[in-house]
Amino acid sequence: MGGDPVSRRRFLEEAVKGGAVLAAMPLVPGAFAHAGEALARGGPPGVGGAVGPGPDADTARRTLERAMSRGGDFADIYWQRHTLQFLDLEDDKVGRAGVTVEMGTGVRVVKGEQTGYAYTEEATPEALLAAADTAALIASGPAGKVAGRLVPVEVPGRYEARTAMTDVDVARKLSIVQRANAAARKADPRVERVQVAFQDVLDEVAVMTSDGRVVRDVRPRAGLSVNVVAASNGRRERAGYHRGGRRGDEYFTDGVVTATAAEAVRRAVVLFDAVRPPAGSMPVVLAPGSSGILLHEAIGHGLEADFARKHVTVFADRVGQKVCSDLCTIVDDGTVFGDQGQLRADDEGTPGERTVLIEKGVLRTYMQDRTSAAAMGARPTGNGRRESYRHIVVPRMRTTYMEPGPHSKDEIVASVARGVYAVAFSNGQVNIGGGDFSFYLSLGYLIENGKIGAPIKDVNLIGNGPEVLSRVTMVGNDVLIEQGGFGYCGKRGQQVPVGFGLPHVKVSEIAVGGVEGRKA
Amino acid sequence: MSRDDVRTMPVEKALDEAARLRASGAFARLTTRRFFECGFKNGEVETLQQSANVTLDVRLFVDGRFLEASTSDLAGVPHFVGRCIAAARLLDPDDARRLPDPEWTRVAGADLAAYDADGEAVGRDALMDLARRADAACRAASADVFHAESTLSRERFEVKAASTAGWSGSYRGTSSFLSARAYVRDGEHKKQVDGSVRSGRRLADASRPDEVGREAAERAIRARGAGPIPTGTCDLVVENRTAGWLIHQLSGPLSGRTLHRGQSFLAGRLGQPIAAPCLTITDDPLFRGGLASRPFDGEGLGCRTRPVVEKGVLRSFNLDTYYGRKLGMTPTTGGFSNVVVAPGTRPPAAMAGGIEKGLWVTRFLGGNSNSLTGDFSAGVAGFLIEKGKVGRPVAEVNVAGRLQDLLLAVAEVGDDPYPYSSIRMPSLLVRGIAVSGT
Repeated sequence: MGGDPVSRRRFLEEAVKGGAVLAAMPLVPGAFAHAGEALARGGPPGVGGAVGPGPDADTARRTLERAMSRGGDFADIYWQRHTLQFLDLEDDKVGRAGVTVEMGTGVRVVKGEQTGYAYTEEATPEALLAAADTAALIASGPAGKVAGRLVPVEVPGRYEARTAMTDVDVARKLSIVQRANAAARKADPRVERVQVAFQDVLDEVAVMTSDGRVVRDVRPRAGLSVNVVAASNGRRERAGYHRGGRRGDEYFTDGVVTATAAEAVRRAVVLFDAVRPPAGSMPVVLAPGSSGILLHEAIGHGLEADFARKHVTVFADRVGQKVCSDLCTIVDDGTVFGDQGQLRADDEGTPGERTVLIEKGVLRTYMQDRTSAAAMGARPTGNGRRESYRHIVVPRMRTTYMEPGPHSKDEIVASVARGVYAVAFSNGQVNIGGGDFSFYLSLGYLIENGKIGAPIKDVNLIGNGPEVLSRVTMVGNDVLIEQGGFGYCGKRGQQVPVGFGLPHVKVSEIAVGGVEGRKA
Repeated sequence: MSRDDVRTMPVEKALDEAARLRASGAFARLTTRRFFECGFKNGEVETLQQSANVTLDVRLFVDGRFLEASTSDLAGVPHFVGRCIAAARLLDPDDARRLPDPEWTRVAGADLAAYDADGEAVGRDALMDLARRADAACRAASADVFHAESTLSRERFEVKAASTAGWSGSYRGTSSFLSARAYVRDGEHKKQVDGSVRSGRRLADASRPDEVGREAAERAIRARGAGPIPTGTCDLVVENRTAGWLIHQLSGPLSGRTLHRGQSFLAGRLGQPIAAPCLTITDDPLFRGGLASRPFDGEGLGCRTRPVVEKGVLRSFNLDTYYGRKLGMTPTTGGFSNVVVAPGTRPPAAMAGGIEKGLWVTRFLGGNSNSLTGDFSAGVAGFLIEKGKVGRPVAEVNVAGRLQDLLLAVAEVGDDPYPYSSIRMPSLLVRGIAVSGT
C-alpha cells in the first residue's frame, strides 16, 4: 500500500471487497474473504454489494417492520462480524495462537425505557424475522412507523490504522512478538522470564434503524503486551506494559516494540527497591496515563445516563451544579485518534463526539444512549455501546480524560510533604449509589518532603467520588492519554474497550490501603 | 441441513478436515445455548431477551504447534479449520503440545443432576412473573426503597465434544438465576444499594421472589450512613456471599500457567501447610446440582473430585495438559469447577460474638493481588463489630497484607456454605488484618 494514507472510504471498500489486497495470508481464516463467501452462497442477508455486508436493504426493512408490528418508539438491527486473533510467546517460543470469528445479527425494539431484544447467528431472512417477533414482545399496541427507505449515513473521521493488523501476514506479527521478547531479554540481566502477547481485533458493524438510517463502521484494534519476571538476590518481581489502540501495522515500529519491552522490564526491576506501602489518608499525586482510571471510577460511571435517569447515581439530578473542584474539566471523547476508546459511531449509529461532562467543576451532561436520552429529554452523545450482537445497548464510556490545568509537575510534587506518587494502575471498581470507589496501584513511589522517593506496589486506593474530586487541589499543564491496547471496562456483564487520560493531578487526601500504619 | 445436523455435524466436520490435512491431533467442542432473560424495574418490564447461540471451539495440534479457534459461523467449518491449520504451521514447535494422554480423558459416570426438565416446561409468562414478584417484594419491604430492579434468567445448554483420538463425550444442563436490587436514599445525594440472588440448576432454586426482594431491601436499608473507620488492625468476619473473593485470588497462584511462568508464591509448596488447619478446599466437578458441574473440561480431561487444600495442606494445582507436562505433573484441570469449602460448626454471628473490635465484611470493592509476591489490597464495606455486636455500617476502607499470611490467619470457617454460586464458601473469621481508613 506504500506510504499513502488510505482514506476512510477506501479502507472500507477494500475491507468489503475481500482478500484481493492481501500480500500474504493473514492468520485469520478469511475475515474479509468471508464476505465474498457469503455472497457466493447466495441469499440474503449475505452481502448487499456496494452497500456492505450484513442484511440487505429489503430483508432489513421487512425485519424492522416486523419488529415494529406491535408498536414501539423505534427499532434497530445490529449486524456484527468480530474477528480476534492472538499470538502468545513464552520460553522464547510462540507456541500458542488463537482465532475467534463470531457473526450475528440483533434486533431491538425500544418503547419508553423498555427494551425487547433477540439475536440470531443464522444468516437467513427467516431467522431475522423470528428475532424481530421476539423483540416485538416488549410492546403491545398498533404497529409503529418504519421509514420507506434505508439511507446510508456517512459518519466523519477515520481510525489511525491504515492496515488493520487482522489483515496482516502472520510472519510479520511473529516478528513483532519475537523482537519484543529479544528486547526484554536484552534490557536487563536480571530478567528471568518473558511473556509476550499480541492481539488484534476487527469489528465490522452495521446499524439499521426504523427511522431509515444505515450506519457502518469497521473498527480495528491491536495491542502488544510484555510481561516479565525478574530476579535479584533471591527476590522476584513481576510487571508488564502494553501499547496499542485503534492502530495498525504502521504503529508497531521497531522503536515502539522495543520501548514497550524496555518499559515492562523497567517497571519490574524498580520493584526490587519497593518498600511496604503506607496505610491511611494522605495526599496522592497521580501521574499522567493509566491514572485516568481515577476519572473512570470516581465520576465516569456515575455520569452514565441509565443510572442518571433512574436517579440511582450519586450524581443524579445535578446538571448545572458544582460537583467537584473547579480545576476539573472532564471529557468523554469518541474522537481521540488512535485510542482504544475511539468510536466513529456508537452501536446505535450516533456519531462519535467530544462530550464535556464537567466544565470547571460544574456538571454539564450525562453520557447518553438513545433510550436514556429520550427518557430525559436530552441528546444522544454517542455513548450507546455493546460488547457484541449478543448484548443489549448500555451507556458506556469511550476515552475519558481531564483537561490540563495551570500547574507544573515539579510544583505539584514539591507541594507534598508526605504522600504517594501514583504511576500505574491495573483495575478499579465503583459503587454507583454511594459513590465509593477504589483503584489498584501496581506501581508508585513515596513522596517525602516534596521529593519522589522509594517505589511502592500492590496497594489499593479508596475513596468517595464526589469527595475525592472536590479535593483536587492542583492540575498539571500536561495530559497523557494512556497508550495501551488492553483497557477494558465491565458493566452488566459486558466488556468494551475504553481509554484513559489524565494530567498530573494532586488529590489532597485519599485513603491508601497499605500495611504500614503511620499517618501522614 | 436439519437442526440436528447443525448441532452435531460441525464437530465431525472439523475433526475430519483436521485429519485430512494431517494435523497430529484435534479436539472439537460444540456448545449450544438457549437463554431467556427478563428484567423488571419499579413494576414495569424493563428488558425482555430471548435467543440461542452456538459456538464451535477447536483445539488444533500440528506437529507440536498449537492453535485454538472458535467460531459461531458453522457454514464454512472445513475452510475455517483449513486456514487455522495453515496458520498453525508457522508457529514454533513444542513437544508438550499434544492431545491429552488417553488415561486422563476417562469420564466418570456420575449423575450431575445438571438438567431440570420440570423447569424447562415452565413458560415465559410464569418466568416473567418471578421477576415481577421479586421487584414488587423489594418495594413492598419498605417505603424507603425508591427504586427496585429484578432479573430472572434461565439458560439451557448442551455440549458435544470429540477428538481425533477417538474420544467423545456430551452433557447438557440448565441454570436459573433470580436477583433483586434495592436503592434507598442516604443523605442529600448518596444512595445505598444492595442485592440478593437465588440460583441453581433447577428453576425451583431461583423461585423465591419474595425472599429475594425482601432481603435486597433489608440489606440496602441497613447500609445507610456507612463511612470509614480509623486505620489499624482488626479481625474480620467475611460473609459467605463475598468470601469467594479468596478463591478468586488463589486461582492465579494455583494455575499451571502461573507456576510455569515463575509467577506463583505457591510454587514448590505441594504437601506443605499453606493455610490454617480449619481450611479444606475441594474442587468438585461432580457435585450434584453444582453450577459448574461437568463430566469433562474444556480440553476433554475427565473430571474428578480433588482436594486442593486439605486441613491447611496444599494437595494439588490446577494443571491443564500443556502446563502439567511442562511441570512434570499429571494434569488435573485448567481451572476450578465447583469449589467446595468444608463448613465449620458455628454461624457467622457466633464467630463475631468473640470479637472485641472488628469488621463484618459484606462486600469487596475493587482490589487485586500479586500472584508472585502474594501482596493483596482491596476495598471492603460492611459493619463495625464492637464487643461481639454488629454495629454501624462501614464503607471506604481497605484491607491489605499478603495472601500467605491471610490463609494462615483464617481462625474459623462458618456453618453456612453459600449455595448460589459455584464457589460454595462459608463465612470466614480472619484475625489481625491491616485496615486503612481515616
